[in-house]
This record gives sequence, C-alpha cells and structure tokens, in this order.
Amino acid sequence: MKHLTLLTLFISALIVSCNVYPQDDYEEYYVVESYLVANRQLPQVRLSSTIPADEVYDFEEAAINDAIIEVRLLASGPESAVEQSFSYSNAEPGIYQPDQNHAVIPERTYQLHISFPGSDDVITAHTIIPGSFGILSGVAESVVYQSSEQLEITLSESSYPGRQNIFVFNAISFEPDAEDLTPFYFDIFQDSEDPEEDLTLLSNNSSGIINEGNFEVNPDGSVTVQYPWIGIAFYGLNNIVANTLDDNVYDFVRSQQVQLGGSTLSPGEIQNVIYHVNGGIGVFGSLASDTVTTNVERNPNL
Amino acid sequence: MYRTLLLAFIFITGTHTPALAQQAASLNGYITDSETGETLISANIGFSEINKGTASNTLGYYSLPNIQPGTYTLFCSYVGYKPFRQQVTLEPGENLRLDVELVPESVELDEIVVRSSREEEEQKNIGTVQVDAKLIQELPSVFEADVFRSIQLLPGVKAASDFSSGLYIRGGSPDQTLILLDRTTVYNPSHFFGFFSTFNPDAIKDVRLYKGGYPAEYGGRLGSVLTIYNKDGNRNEMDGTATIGLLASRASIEGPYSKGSWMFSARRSTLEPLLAGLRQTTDNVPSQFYFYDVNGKVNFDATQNDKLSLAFYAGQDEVTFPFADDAEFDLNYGNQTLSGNWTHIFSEKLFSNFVLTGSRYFNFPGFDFAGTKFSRSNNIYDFSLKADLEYLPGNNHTIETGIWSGIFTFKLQDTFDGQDTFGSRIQNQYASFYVQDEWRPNDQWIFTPGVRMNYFSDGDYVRIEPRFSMEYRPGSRVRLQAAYGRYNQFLTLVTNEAFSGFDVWLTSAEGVSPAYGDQFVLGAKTIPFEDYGLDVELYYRTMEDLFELDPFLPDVAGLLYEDLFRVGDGSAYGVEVFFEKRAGDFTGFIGYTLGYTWRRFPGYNSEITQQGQTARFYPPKYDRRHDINLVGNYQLNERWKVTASFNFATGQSYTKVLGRYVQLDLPWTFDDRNTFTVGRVNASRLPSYHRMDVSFSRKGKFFDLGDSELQLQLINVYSRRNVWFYSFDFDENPVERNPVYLLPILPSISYTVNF
Repeated sequence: MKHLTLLTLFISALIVSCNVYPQDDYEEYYVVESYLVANRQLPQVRLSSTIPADEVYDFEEAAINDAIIEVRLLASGPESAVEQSFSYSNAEPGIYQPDQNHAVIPERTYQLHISFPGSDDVITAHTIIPGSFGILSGVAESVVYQSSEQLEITLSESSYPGRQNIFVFNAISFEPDAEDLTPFYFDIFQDSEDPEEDLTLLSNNSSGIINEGNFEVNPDGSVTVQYPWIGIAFYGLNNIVANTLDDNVYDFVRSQQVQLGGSTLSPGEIQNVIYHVNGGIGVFGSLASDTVTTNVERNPNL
Repeated sequence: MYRTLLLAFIFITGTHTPALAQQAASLNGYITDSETGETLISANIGFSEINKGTASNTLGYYSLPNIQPGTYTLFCSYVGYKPFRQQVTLEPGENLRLDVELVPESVELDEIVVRSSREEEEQKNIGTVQVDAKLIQELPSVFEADVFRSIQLLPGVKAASDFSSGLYIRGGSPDQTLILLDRTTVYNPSHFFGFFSTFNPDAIKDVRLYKGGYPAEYGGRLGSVLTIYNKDGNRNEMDGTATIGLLASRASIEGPYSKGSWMFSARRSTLEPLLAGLRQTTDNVPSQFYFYDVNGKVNFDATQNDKLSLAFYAGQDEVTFPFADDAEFDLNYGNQTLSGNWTHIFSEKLFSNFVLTGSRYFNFPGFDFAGTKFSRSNNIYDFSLKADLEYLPGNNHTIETGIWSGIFTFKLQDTFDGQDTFGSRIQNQYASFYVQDEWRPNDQWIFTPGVRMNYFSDGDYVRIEPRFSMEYRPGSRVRLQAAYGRYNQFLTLVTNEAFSGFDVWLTSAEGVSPAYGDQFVLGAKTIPFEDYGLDVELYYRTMEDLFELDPFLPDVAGLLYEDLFRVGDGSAYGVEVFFEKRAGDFTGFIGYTLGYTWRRFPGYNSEITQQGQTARFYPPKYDRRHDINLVGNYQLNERWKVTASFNFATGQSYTKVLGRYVQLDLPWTFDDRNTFTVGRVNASRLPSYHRMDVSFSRKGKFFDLGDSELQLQLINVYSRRNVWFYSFDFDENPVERNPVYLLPILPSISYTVNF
C-alpha cells in the first residue's frame, strides 16, 4: 500500500511537472516581398531574413544580396511549364530589380524562384494576377467634403478565380499639408507624438480590406462604390486608387493585422501570418488597380 | 392525456406496484423559509428510521410516496437553516400534505447546529455546486456584488481576466454554459461590456452550477448549466432593502398579497457625477454611460395544487463616447426576459411544471467617423414552451421527463455609409425531449440513466444524447459518483474576452454541423468531520465540430454562411478538490483545480513552413494549470464580520514572439508592416496570478427604521500587478514589450438598509 501511494504521488508529480507543450526557440527565415500589378512593369523584389524579436531591426542589416532571382511567367497555372523567365539583379542591399521590361499580364500565373550560390536553399512562390479593371468615366472632378453628393466611382467588371473580388482603396493627397487635413484626421494629428510621420502616413490613406459583396453590382457587371468620407484625409487634389488583391496579398494582410489584436482572438494569442511561400516567408503577390483624380473642397458648414 | 403518460412511464420503468402499496401512505408538500415563505430548492427531507429521503425540486416541492404506515421522525435540512424534526404518523392509504417551514440560522446565532451526515449528504450531486446567495453579497467584489465573480472562485471555473465576468468552466468558453434565469435563457448576461454580470444579487434566491456531466433535463450546451432563480417575494410580510454603492445603487421590495407574493428590484449605475467631474479636466470621457436592470415576479397561489407565477427581467447598457472631433461611438445593448410558470400537482406521485418563456438579446453599436457611419442592429428572439413532469411510480424510482420547444430568431443587419453590407435573418425551430429515471435499488446505489433528443430545424439536425450517472455510498459519510453524457451545441458566440458589448450569436446550419462532445466525470463527496466537506472530482471532456467565427475574416460581406466559420476540436481534463467548513463562526472553503485545456483548428498553430498541412493542439489563453482559491468568512462579533478571498493561479498562456521583419512596399500605404514570427501558439506563461480581497461589514440600525449594513472592501490588498497581456511598441527599435496590467488596489464602500 505504501509503495502504491508513493508510485501514485510520483506519477502525479511527473504529470504535473512535465511540460507537454514546450516553447519553441527562434529560427531564422528568408523573407521575400514583391507585388506585381496588372499591366505595369515587373516590380522589385526584396529579400532579407528575420531577426530575433528583441534585436534592433535594420533592413539593410537583414538584407540578402547574393541570391539568384527569377520571376517566371507560367504557361497555364501554378504547375505548368515556364513560358518566359525574367532575371533580376541586386541593385541595393536586399533589393533586386528586373533586368528586362515586361508588363504584368492580368489573369496569368507568375512564379518567383530564388536560389543561392553554394546552397541548396530554394524559395518559390506563385501568384495569379487579378483580372484588370478600370474606373469608368463620370467620376466627379470635384466634391464638397461631407456634402450630400458623395464621391461615386464605378469599376468595370473584373474577376478572380474561385472567389469574389477583394478590394482595398486608398486616397493619395497631392499636397499633404497639415492645414488641409479634414477635421477627424486633424484631431488625430494634433495628438500625435510624431506629427511628421503621421502626416506622411495620412497622405496615403487606405481603407483596409473590403469585399465586393459590400457593393451593388450593376447589370453590366460593373460595381458602383460610394467612396466613404472617412477615406479622405486631406482637402484638395487626391488620387483615388482602387485595388483588387490576389490570395497571397489578401492572406498576408488579413492575418498580419490580427497579430496585434482586434479580432476575436484573446489578447496575447499571436499566430504566424498566412504565407504562400515555399522555403521562406513573406509575400509574393499581385494586384490590379486603377486611379482617378478628384478635388475635395472644404464644406463651409463644418 | 396524463393517464396515457402514466401508463407510458410504468411501461418504461417496468415497475410493478406491489399489492402492499395499496396500504402505503405518502407525504408531500413544499419546503419554505419560515420568515419569507420562499421555497427552498434541493432541501433535504426524509425519515430517520427507515433511511428514506429525497430533496425538494426546483420549485421547492417534495414527495415521499409508498411509505409503510406508522410513526416516524421526519427530518428536513438545508444549508443556512436550523434542522427541522417532527413526529409524523401515517395511516394506511393516507396522502399527507405537509408543508415544511425551515427557520434561518441567523435568527438565533448562538445556537449550536447539529446535523447528521444523512441530513447533509443530499446537498451535492456530481458536477453540481450551489452558491449561497448570501455569500455572493458578502464576498469582496469590485464595486458591486456579483454572481459570476463569486462563481469564478469555485474549482473548475476560471476568469479570463479581472475585467471579465465570463465563466470559463472545465475548459469551456463562456458560450458553452447555458444560463437560465427563472428557466429562461439569457444570452448576454453582462453589464459594462463584461465587467459585471446582469443578475442583481438582491433579487436572487438560488444559484446552481452544473459544471459538467449534467442531467438529461438540460441540453443545448457542450459544457455546463447555470440556473438562477429569483426570489418569489416574501409571503409573510412586506420588506425591502436599499444599497448605495460607488458604482451602482439598488433597491428591492417584496411582500404578500391575498393570493400569493410579489417581488420587484431595480439597480442602476450612478456614474454620472463622476463622469461630469472628469469632463471638466479630461478629454475622451463618455458623454453618456450607464446601465440598469429591473427584476420582478408575481406569484399567484390558485389552489393548494396550482401555483402560477410571472417573472420578468430587463437590463440595458448605454454608452456614447465622442472620442475625437467628428467621431463618436455609441452602444446600446441588453437583455429582456419574460416567463410565465404554472406548477400543478396532479397527485402525490405526479408533479408538473409548465413554462412559457421569452428572451430577447439586442445590441446596437454605431460608429461615426468623419461623416461615415457604421451601425449594426443585432437582435435575438427566443420564445419557448417547456413542460416537465416528475413521476414517482414506486419506492425506488423517480422518473422525470419533459419537452422544450421553441423558435429562435436571429436578425443581424450591418450598415456602412448608408448601405446595407451584411444581413442575416435566420429563424430556427428547436425541440427537445428527455426522460430520465433515478433508480435507487437500495440504500447504497443510485443509478440515473437518461436520454435527451434534440432537433434543430436549420440543417434538420436530430441528435440523441445518452446520459448516465451513478452513485455508491459505502458509508454514511462517503459518496462515490460517476457520470457520462453526450452533449450538442447549435450556437456559437462571437465575442472578445475584453469586451462583450458586441456579442453576436450564430447558429449551426446546413453545412455547419452542431458541435458535440462527451463528458466523463468521477467524483467523491465526503464528510470527513461534522460541518466539513471534502469533494474531489476528475473530469475529461471532448469537443468535436467546434464551429466559431474565423478570426482572420476582416469582412464577411458576400461570403457563404458556412465560409464564416473555422471548425475544430478540443479536449479538457483535470482534477478539482473542494474542502469547506460549512457552519460556525468561521466558514469558508479551499478550492484547487489542476486543469488542461486544448483546442485545434485547421491551419492554425501549424509549423511556419508547413502551413495548411498540420495543425497542433494549443491551450487557449484562459487555460491555467493550477488554480487555488481560499475563501474565509469570520463572524467577529454580533456586529462585525470579515470576509476574505485569495486566489493563486498559474499565469495564463500567451504566445512569445520569437522573430520579426518589416514589409516595406505594400502598394496602398506608406505604413510599414511590422510582422512577428512565432513558434507554438500560447506556449509561454504570464507571471503567476495572485490577489487577495478583503471585506468588512458592520451591522447596525438606520434611525430605528430598519437594520443597516456598512460594507468596506479592499480589492487586491497588496496591489499585485498581475499581467493581462503584453503589448508592443514599434516606435522603439528594438521593439519594446510592455505588460498591460490588471486591476490595482481598489477600495470600495457600500451601505445597505433593510426595512
């Protein structure tokens, strides 16, 4: 009986003290970043590595400069043959530029291929370029801020395989001066600890992810968007940009913004970003976009 | 109709009434508080000589059928009341109606109360714990006595944080606990966005928590059931109470009338003067911030065998917060319940209860940023009919059966910038039927097999749930128990542990299977010494098809309903020890829990380089390995009483960030994206949590108008800076990790007058 009690105590202590779910240690990963935009020239590719979370971050310190990088246009999909290859050269620390001109073709698949001299490491990723679209004519050249006549833009029909379009809109101010900030943003700016940086950030004011399901689809397949006033940070001339995202960018953005809270996850429960990169992390994604310019006038009633 | 039912029950049990029973007598009636006439739930009653007893049901009714004629000593006991004993003579064939009135112990403090173990042993069934309504008021609590925060002190029950009254029971999230107020489901039982529970402690009569392995009478949740019954109202005299506190004040009044009793209570926050003062010196103060709740009940004793009651509850929180120029947030949320109850005693062997319930939960959040408005209208309506029968066919069986059927309507409408962006109107019919038999073949064994059948119209889901419990009593002071049950859940809650004001319930549907799980419980209830109790329970439970809103969906517009969810599984297991001292000047308990909780969702917590291929189990944040609670209540003298509670717990789990990088080129913004890499989710632990709270109360008189009580409380006496989570400051390089702390030391004062 005495032995049985001791054995029970020993097993209980073992169960209690045994860590069945240990903490992992830091591992270094390759990080890629590149965004192809339909009908535009091939973009740069950034290549770097992660650093331990408690160390000073400097992109140039983390940059990887000796990689062999190609972006490949595939014949018909992710597993298909390479139709055309575009080599890249290291231009600045961690930044690679394409050696040739090539306009990204909508609805085609591109592959990123990275290898390293003297190493078996290979990084690959695919992106399917969203179908191109345009902002149809008829957008108001000028609107009065918070008037009943809201800025309305109509986007021609476009598609992405297997799902609805995912949009992000942004407004880029031509002359981002503090005195031209709209009231809400001016209030934020006044409380800012780093006003210069905030002014820069607000000069390119984006909406966050918006599903196509929010908008009314017209009979011809076009989509009409009432541009919300919250999207306008500056009076004056603004470029209004509509973007549709591929899966890679969509997954990166929606999972990255959850890392620091704001979702139904408990505070402090942090997950890795959703990646579509083999052999590394980061994003090799694509967009389609179009831009229209409008002037936002002050509302004398505000 | 009920004769047909009677025949059916007899057929089910195979019980044949012996010829001798024709000569048998029976005893039945209600057990009530002698001072107020309130019915007492689960009071223990029986005959000493023949070791035959039972407990009053949730309406305070008891029945002891098939008693051999003779003279016996009837005993009746209930925690907090003086034991009742009376000689009773039963004639052959007699059906004696005997309503028992128990005298509260507080009436004569100096009297030493002695109970036999037999009288104490009925109080606890497996997985079940009763929370003394008086203890809820005595426990030190943050600003306001709170039912849920009192429950959080029990073993097996955890709190998400100092700011949350949510109940995390045996590894289950708050939506896995069915909360019933006077038999009516309450969908968001919180005030101040989760800080307090909605239940007014002055109005409450009985609080009972079925932590796990709960009986067939209940269903619809994977984990546990919390039943709360409001007072019926004083049947003897009119009385009332009024309390002024720092955060809220409350009042209740109750009394008799010619055919029954009534009760009304109200509570409202009293923060307006504080907010007005803050607005003079501080920006970003809500322009409006209050909550209120009202409870009421009217009882109508139609005949000796028919009682009717009508109960209602309404509560609401409202906040308006202009947090910047041209920006405002407002939120209005609350619950309303209404229930009509009819209790009918068909005979000494057949007791019935019928309830019509209505429950509404609503929230209407709205944001106005720079002329762009977002608003949500979220309404849940649940109307149901419940019928429960309790039949005692013979000496050894108590058969309970019933139905619960209703219509659940969910209406959600999101509007952004004047346009409807997401709308859903779902109307489901649900129905359930249960039957269970408590079979006592002898004095040592109790077997309770049961089964519950559920139907949910969206998806045409029919689910059968076997339930079984058994109890063995090797001696008068020891009860060994075991239970098993299958449970299904057709609802999931979209919430955030830091803020419950936006809560949305979603349902299973075609393509979204209901969640289900099994529970296994082993327990021992002992009375090591007189007035002491020592309970041990082991539990293991599984959770399958757990469906919850995908946390990575930034926008749900245009998605198919089934694409809103991620579906996973989980398990929880642990040991709970509960040691209590029940009577005397010093009372209290020590509760200890060793618990493990796991969850798993596809693609979540997978290896960073193998995403989508693996998914590992992880502990949710509220998982705590060890959790110890000590509660002590000491009567210093006739006037002064001190109550203290102390909690020590393993730190909650969190995810340690390991690496980082920055994405610099996102095309639509100049904002760099600071990104972390992590290993296993929630594999690290915050520092251990511990906190001590103390409450002093002094009884007195209020100008000869009535008794009064002054309560002085100190929360977190030694101001332990417990950590809630870590935030990150990316303006610093290297990135700075800053702890976000829970409550510091907080004093509180309240003054109560009883009249």
